[in-house]
Formats: sequence, C-alpha cells, structure tokens
Amino acid sequence: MIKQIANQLLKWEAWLNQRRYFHALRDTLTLLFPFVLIGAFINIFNQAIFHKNGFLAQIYHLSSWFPGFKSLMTYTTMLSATVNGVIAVVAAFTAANFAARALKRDNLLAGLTAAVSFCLLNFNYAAFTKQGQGASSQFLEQNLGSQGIFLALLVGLITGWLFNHLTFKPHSHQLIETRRHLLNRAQENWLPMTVTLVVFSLLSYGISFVSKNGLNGLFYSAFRSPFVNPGSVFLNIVSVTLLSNFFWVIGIIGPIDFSGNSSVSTVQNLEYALQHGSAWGAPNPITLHTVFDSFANVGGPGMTLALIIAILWRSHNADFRTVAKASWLPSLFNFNQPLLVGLPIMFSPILAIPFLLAPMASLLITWGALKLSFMPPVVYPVERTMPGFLVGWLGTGGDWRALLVSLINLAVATAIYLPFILLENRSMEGGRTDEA
Amino acid sequence: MKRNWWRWCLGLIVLIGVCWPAYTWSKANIKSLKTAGRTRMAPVIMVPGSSASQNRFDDLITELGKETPQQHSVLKLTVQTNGKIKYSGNIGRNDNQPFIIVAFANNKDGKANIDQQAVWLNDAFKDLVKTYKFNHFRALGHSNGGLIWTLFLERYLKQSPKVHIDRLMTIAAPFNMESTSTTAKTSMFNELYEYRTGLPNGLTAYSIAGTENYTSDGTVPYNSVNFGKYIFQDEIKHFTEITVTGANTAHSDLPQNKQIVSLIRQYLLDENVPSKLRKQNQQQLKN
Repeated sequence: MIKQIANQLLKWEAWLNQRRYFHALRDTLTLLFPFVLIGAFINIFNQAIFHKNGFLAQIYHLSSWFPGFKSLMTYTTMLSATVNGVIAVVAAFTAANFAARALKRDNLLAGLTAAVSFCLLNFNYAAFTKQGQGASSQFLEQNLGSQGIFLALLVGLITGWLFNHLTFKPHSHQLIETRRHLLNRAQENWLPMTVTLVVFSLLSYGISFVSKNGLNGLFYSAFRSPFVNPGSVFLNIVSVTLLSNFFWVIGIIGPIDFSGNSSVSTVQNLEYALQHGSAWGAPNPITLHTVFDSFANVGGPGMTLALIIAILWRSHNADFRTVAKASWLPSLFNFNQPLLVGLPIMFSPILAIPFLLAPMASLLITWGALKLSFMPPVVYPVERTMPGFLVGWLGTGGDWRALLVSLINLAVATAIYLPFILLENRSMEGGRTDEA
Repeated sequence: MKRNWWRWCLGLIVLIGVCWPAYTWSKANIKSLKTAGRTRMAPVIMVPGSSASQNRFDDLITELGKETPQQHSVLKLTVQTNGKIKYSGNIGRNDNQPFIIVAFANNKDGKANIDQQAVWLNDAFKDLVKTYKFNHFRALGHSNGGLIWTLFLERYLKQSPKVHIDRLMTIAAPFNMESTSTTAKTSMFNELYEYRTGLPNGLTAYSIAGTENYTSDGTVPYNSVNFGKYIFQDEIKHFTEITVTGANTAHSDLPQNKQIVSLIRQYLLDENVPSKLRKQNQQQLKN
C-alpha cells in the first residue's frame, strides 16, 4: 500500500518534471541557488551578528566591544538590501530565459523582457501623489526581494510562453554576434516583446486602482488575511501553520514568517512571568508564538534543520548532499531559503509532504507537553535568529524540559523526512537507469 | 575514525561556546527586563462614538500614516459586555507612540450606556497599563467617545495613580447630548459637570466642533459641543475650542476630515508639521 503510494509519487514527480514550463521553473530555482545562498550568509552577518537584536550579537555583547560594529551594520544592511532585495527580478529573468529556451526562442530577449515586465508590475503609483513625491521610491522595493518570487516566476513563465507562441521561427545562436544578427533578433521578436510589455503595463495600471502595493501586495493581503488573529485555539494554529508552510512551498514566502514577540498575548505572558518570577501559569500558554515560532520553526519553516540532518545522514543524492552541506549554517539561524530553491523544496511534491507534516508533528508534541504541564510556555523574548532548538530552552528562562521537547521535535521531524529522502534515493537510482 | 573524533570534539566545544553565553545572556536579560519595564511608551488611545466598531479610525490612521515619516503600530480592543477584552493587532517593539483603539461590544447611545462604557474603558485601560506599563498617554474621542473619555478622566483615572494624561482631543463630543438649547441641561451634562473637579489639573484639552451649517454637523448640535466649556474651563491647564467648517464636515466624516487630521497631527501627536499646515491651523483657531 505504502509502496504503491510511493511509486505513484515518484511517477508523478517524473511526469511533472517532463512538463516544459514546470521544468523551466525547477531549473530557475536551481540556478538561483548560489545567489540565495550568498544572500542567506549575508543575512547571518546582517541579522544574527551585526544587528542589535541578533542572536550572536546579544550573547557575546558584540555591539559593546566589536570594532566598527556600526559601520559593519550599515555595510551588511546594504548587502542584504541589494543581493536579497532584487532576487525576484533575477528570478523573472531566469524563468523566462529557461521557458523560451525550451522551444529554442530568443531566450536572452525573453529574459530581459520578463525582468522589465516584473518591474512594471511593481511600480509605485504613490510616487505620483502629492504626499509621495520625493518621499518614497519609484518602485515597490519590498516586492522585488524574496517576497516577490512567486509573482516573478509567474511573470517569467508567461513571458516565455508569449515568446514561444508569438515568434514563428526558432532563434539561431551565433557564436560571435554581428550587428546585423542583433538587429534581426529585434525584428523577429518585436511582437512578443511589445505584447508582453503592453499586457503587463496595463495589468499594472489596472491593479493600481485596487491595491496600493501592486499585484504582489494584493496577493499578500489575500494570503495574509487568514493569519490575522489565530488566537489560542489549537486547531486554528495548526491550520494557519499548514497554510503558511504551503505558501512557502509554492514560493509565497512569509505571510507569517515569525509572528514575534509583540502580540498582546506574548506581552501579557512576559508581564506575568516577570511579576511571578516564573513562566509557569502564564495567562496564554498556547499561542502562535509559544507553539509555532518557538518549537515548529527549527531551521526555518518546515523544520528544515531536520531535513538537513536526514540528508547528511542517509541521502545518496550527491546534489542533495552538496546543497545540504552549503546550507546548514544559515539553517542554524533559521534561514532556509537556500534549501527551498537549492534542493528545491519549492514545487517538489516529494519534499513538500514532509515539509508540511514535520511542523504539524512538532505542534502536536509541543501542544501535548504544554497541556500536560510538562514544561512552561515560552514567555521571555526570543530572537528570530536564535537557533531553533535553543528557543524553547532560552524562552522559558532555561527550563531543561523545554530543551528536551525541542530535541524530541527535531528527532521526530527527522524521522518524518527520512522516508522521503530514502524514496528520493530510489528515484535517483531509477533516473540513472533511464538516462543510460 | 580519528578525524571523526576530532570533529565531534570541536562540535561539542562550539555548542558549549554558544549555549553557555546564551544561557547567561538570557538570565541577565530577564533580570534587566524585571527592573526596566517599559516607560518610554506614550500611546495615543482612541475611543470611537456610538454604533462604531474598533475599525472606526482606520481611515484616520491611513490618513495620518500618509504624511508622517513615523509608522505607528495599531492595537485594537473590543470590550465585551461581560468585561472581557478581545485584542487584535499588536504594538511594535520600538514604537513609542502606538495607536490603541478601545471599542465596546455594546456601543449603544444613551446616558446609561455611556456610563457603563466609561467603566469598560477603565477596565481596558487598567489592562493596558498592566501589560505595557506606560505612564503617559494621549486621548482622542469621537462623538460619544469624547464623553466616555471625559467621564473616565473625571472618575476613573485616579485608579491608575502612576499614569498621566498629556492631552485630550474630542471631536464633535455632544457634552449636552442632542439638546440644541444654550440653557437647558441634560442629565448627561449634569453628571459631567458634577464630577468636573476630578479632572487632572495638568490636562490640555481640545474640543473640535464640525459645522455644516450655523447650528450643527448634521448630527451633533454646535451648542451641545459648546457646553464643553462649562466642564473644562478653569478646571484644567488649557482648554481650546476649535470649529471646522467646509467640505466633509458631516458628523461621521469628521475623523478623516483633512483639516481635523492636520489638527490632530499638530496638537495631539505633537508632530513637527510643515509651516503651511501650522498657519492653516492657526487660522482655524482665529475663526
């Protein structure tokens, strides 16, 4: 029975990979991997080390003795804003490039058109209004980073599709470009270029009447609406987490990334704990923060640290091992984007299932431990970059039982990922025989 | 095998090198949190009028957010009829001037309801003070929200002796209810008048009236707003009445009226407004 399902899953994945545009999508993600990896390391420096609230900065009191802490803060913020800040534009370019290449169209022009189109969609119309003048940027910068990847991929694929269907003969590559050939390229591709630009510019202008933050903003407000107030009902927390992690799988990154320390229930918990000198009996033991942030987010959403452990332990897939070896350090500080695009987890049915299931198991275990009063809830402030398996321990003021629960969660999550890694081993061996 | 042994050793040393300082840091952090508390925060607490929900000020807040460089986080409370409080939204960690909106599940008009709503406001207020430990705040009330604030300041603020109000702004608050008379006093006014000595002496208050015509803003009579002077004058440090006329001065449009928004920015939020707005506001005062 399980074998059958496994085989079906493998077949489905293989079938999906043969779809032209799906293949282009996966290729895009893999090509983005080095950029995302560099971005993740920049994030470590920017958010965990050279940031007032960074985990390493706090525990080693870096800000007080590290020479040039402030300048490094500025420098790494600049790096993060640029490298991570325009990753979606790169994604749009790459997706169109691969999509057009599949049918041997002019992939370079397709890519450039897609990149421009994506920027079109993220124009800041507020810059025209009286108050916005001079105050803000011409573009909606926040949509050009990893937030925008889903839309960027979509724009890239649509552009690629338009190029595939609106040019009539395949593009001939020349090793050494001549001016005539370049001009020919323009002549052959003017139709899809114009159509793409017109379509997206009209779309962009139309959206501006509805949403101030562009199409992406519209997406996010729609996707975020279920997360506004999950309250303390466990079932709500579970469904919110499930939905959020599902969004990560399809490239909509972070509607609820880390709900953080600021919600009222968290502040109430903290006040209680400070007054009573202990986390026991806090008024809101079960919230998104005490259960999800603190225990189901080890290594980033989807308990991805467990995935790394599973891969390094049992995977025979050399690619997987390479990606895991490169990504374990960012994942310790809860940056898992390299894994999402490198393996990729995004748009991969085999990895998506444990990516969704593992946090569920953690939620359940944590909830049980809290309900049975095995451990106190997390009440003291914890930082986003705090290594996931330490959050429970430090957030309860050093309760060993919370650390134990974190470790159990990690072990269970690894056990959930493992069968899928073994399955992936099989598919790889199968794939090799196909190629031979 | 030997190499592996080294690796495990190194890993263990790194783990201890992280965990030990992390543990001491978290202990020290808890200690400093205990002693410090959060005293720099001075929220702006808004109370909507009758039949309005916690979302009443959304337009005002967007309007304020358009022009200010500083983003205010927004926390909304609705006090249920049994005194329980429902929260939504949150206050950003470094936000020293968040907006807090206190609404009531029973938001009906009438003196009995307003008296009860002032009690509920006190419940919400005490809960907020307990949670966020602020000792200064500013208040904004639209319509009956202004009456609820006044009652609260007169009778209940004393229950939180460590907390001081800096400024109060009421928008079209009918201190004499629906009465258009300049002499007849309603029971609501009598209550407000009776307890007026309880008002904090250091308070600075602004009462804004909107007028579509010479007598009212379509809902609240100008004369009723004008009764505020009998309550505040000579009881508090400063009391200013402002009348706004022109476009969008119907009662329910007032909170998002452009002129009132700029008055809020200058007088309630104490923002550094451009000199153009400052002049416009001053002209308002002369009228």
